[in-house]
Amino acid sequence: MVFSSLEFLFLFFAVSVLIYFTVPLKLRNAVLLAVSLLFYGWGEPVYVFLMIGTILIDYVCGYLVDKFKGTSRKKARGFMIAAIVINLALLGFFKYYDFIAENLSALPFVNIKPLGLSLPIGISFYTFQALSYVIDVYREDASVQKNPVSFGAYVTLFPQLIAGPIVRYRDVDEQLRRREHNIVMLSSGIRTFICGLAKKVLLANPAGALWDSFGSSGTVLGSWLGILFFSFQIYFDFSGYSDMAIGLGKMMGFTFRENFYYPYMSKSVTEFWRRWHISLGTWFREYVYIPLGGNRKGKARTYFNLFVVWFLTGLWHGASWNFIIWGLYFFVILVIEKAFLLKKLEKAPALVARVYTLILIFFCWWLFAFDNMAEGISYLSTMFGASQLTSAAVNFDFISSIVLLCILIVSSTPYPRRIYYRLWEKYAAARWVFAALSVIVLVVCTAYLVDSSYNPFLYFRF
Amino acid sequence: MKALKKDNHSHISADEEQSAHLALEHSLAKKCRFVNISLAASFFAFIFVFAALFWLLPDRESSENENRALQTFPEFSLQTLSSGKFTEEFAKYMADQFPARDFFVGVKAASECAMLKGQNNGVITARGGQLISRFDSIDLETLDTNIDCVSKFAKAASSDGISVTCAFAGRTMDVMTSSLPRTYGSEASDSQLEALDEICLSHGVEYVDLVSPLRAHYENGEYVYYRTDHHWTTLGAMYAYNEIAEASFLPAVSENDFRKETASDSFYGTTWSSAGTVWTSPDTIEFFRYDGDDMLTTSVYGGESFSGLYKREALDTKDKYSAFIGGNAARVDITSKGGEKREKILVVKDSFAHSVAPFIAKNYDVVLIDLRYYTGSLINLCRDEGINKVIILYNMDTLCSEAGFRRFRTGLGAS
Repeated sequence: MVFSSLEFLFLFFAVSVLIYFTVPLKLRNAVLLAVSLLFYGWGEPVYVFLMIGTILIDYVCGYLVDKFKGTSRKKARGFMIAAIVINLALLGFFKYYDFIAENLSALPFVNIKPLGLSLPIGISFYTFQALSYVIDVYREDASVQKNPVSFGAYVTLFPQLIAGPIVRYRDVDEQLRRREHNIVMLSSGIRTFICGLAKKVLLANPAGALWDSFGSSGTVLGSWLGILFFSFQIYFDFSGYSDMAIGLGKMMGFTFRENFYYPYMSKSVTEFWRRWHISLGTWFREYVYIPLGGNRKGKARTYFNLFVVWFLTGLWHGASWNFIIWGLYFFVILVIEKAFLLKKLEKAPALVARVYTLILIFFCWWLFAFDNMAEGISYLSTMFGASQLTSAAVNFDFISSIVLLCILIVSSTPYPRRIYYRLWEKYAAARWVFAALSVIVLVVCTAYLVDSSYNPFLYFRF
Repeated sequence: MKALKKDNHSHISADEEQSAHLALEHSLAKKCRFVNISLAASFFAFIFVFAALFWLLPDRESSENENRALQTFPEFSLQTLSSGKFTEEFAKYMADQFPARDFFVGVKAASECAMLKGQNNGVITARGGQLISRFDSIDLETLDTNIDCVSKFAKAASSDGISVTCAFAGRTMDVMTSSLPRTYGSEASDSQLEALDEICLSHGVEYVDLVSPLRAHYENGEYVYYRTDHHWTTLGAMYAYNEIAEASFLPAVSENDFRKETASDSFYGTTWSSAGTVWTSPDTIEFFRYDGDDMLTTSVYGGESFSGLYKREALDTKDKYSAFIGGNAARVDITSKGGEKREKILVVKDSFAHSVAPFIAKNYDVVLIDLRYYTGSLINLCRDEGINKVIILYNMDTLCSEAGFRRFRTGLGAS
């Protein structure tokens, strides 16, 4: 179930929120766990058991790590490694088995049949969350959670279960034990949620439909516009989803950290990755890059560490070569930037730095879009002129989407939100207007959901 | 808000901005209490009211507006649940049975319009509120297969001494090119009609072009296609009939031969349903009446027969166009009531023929066959019922889709 669906809004959410706010504070984590499992089971009835298994394993490992960390560092370490191995083995099996089988089968005398299992939704997200817990307990960055219900609620927390942000245990530890529910958080959460819903339903979905039609037009103009709209689709899809998660969290008293910070405003690719999917970047830095030695072990080792991080980041996005190449594409750019380019970009006019960044990001989405290499290459040749320039349908769709394009561009900048808060702070009338607008936007989003069957979610299968 | 001033571009500023905004919201908690409560109240009211209405209101079996069956509550079992069938159908069930569905469809259309998109759900809002479905490309392979079937039948029939006339009608997109936005224009239509020409040529199929004459009438300001539907009007059908009549030696007609009856002035067609443009004004359906047309009998196979050519009950429903000869059926016969012997013409067709049929029926008995539902052999039908004239009448959209064309070959033998 995705948040931008009628069955989420008018069935699951309506019922969950009603139960959540009627039960006493003490029971709220239990309610969260129960409804989250239901939420998960709605889409993946069978994998609920896998999820429960993951919770139990990580709960027990965390408990044992904590128990032994004072007496036997070795044993504690052993249990942490056990948790890492089991979690990654499950992730590897479900997400990468077929990919590995397929590639090994290309070798002579090797023939491994793919299993064709469907990917448990959100496994990439919740596995990383659960790992952060055990590792943080081992490192004494977080205290152990002895209540299995609270721990289960953390792993399955439905707002971020299937598409992040990847919430580190230490960031919500305190909130799991005690959190405040008040009208400020509730209405702030509602506004954030509606904003995310609008990003998804009113911006990402139409942009995605345009990517489909432009991308398949087979014309030069169409294929450039296709990637352009795909860039917007993927940003608003994913950041919209994060906003909805953050908003739902706020309604229930949680503060999750921001996952996106106007990435298309970046003045370097290095900066882009500090603004794009922040929780994933943070995770890889803290649990891979720094443990490998980060940049403290000499230049060669730093580059090797970066290579590992970006190879894994690419692989995390999907079991396909194009994602690995996508990750390595960033590795190469980031190494070049680290070596000398970053300093030059800082001195260059902002416009030059922005254009440079956006061009590289534009082509990264081309890599991202095609998991079939041959299709990707033929698309690229269309972009560079191996076809007719444009067609009437492309021209018409372009003109018809100009207002949408302007909205997409403006919404990618920080200004709307800053202006919103400035007005909100100063004028009571503005607050009323914004409240009314929120409700209107909710009605319009509902209208789009009722009307349309086009509601894919890009990061759903991660 | 002070924290925002030092924009240091590291990921920390995302958190800083977030906590500054939260702090601001908390610091204004007292001032904003009423507005916060109002927002939360209306948010939850909206969610809960529609959630409740969804369960309380009775389910609808079908949507007149969209002319299709609606999803009803899906069958629940462990098997449908684990296969994902239940959840998938449940999502459809919710979208189909959502309270005030038509209202929401209109809201969506209105907001697309406000964004100056000029189109919604594949329907272009053209000049004068004309609604035009767009077809950017057609399925050439299917078109080729379909024309091949038509050609095989035509060859077999003419060797039996049966005359066959093919006539192909345009879609609104083909006829109303002058009303389309200039950027969209006639490019797609031109290239698709050209492809039709080439394919027909390669299969040796000659056809009566119904696009250019109707386009000329349209550009002349005549009301030849509906604004809200994909069909031609009765006037357009009359012009089409005359084109066909000329090719297959039937008597021509003119407007003066008929008494025009306004059957309905509140017709909203299928294009309107997809476009959702609730503000578009309705179309008028006219019947071109002539003496003795109510003495004819229309018999619908597998349905009921009625006297005259029009099923007037249909005018009280949404799908008013199906008043013409009672709508889609595998086979419809129009015969004269007195049993007087008239020559019989076979029309193999899609729904565009329904409003043409009354003109043919003026002088002939008519058998209308819809190959989507009719499974018998056409050639045997001609032989058995002594039919010497066949009219094949389709519009471009049907020509390019799977519409039972292979059944043209039923009974032709293995050639």
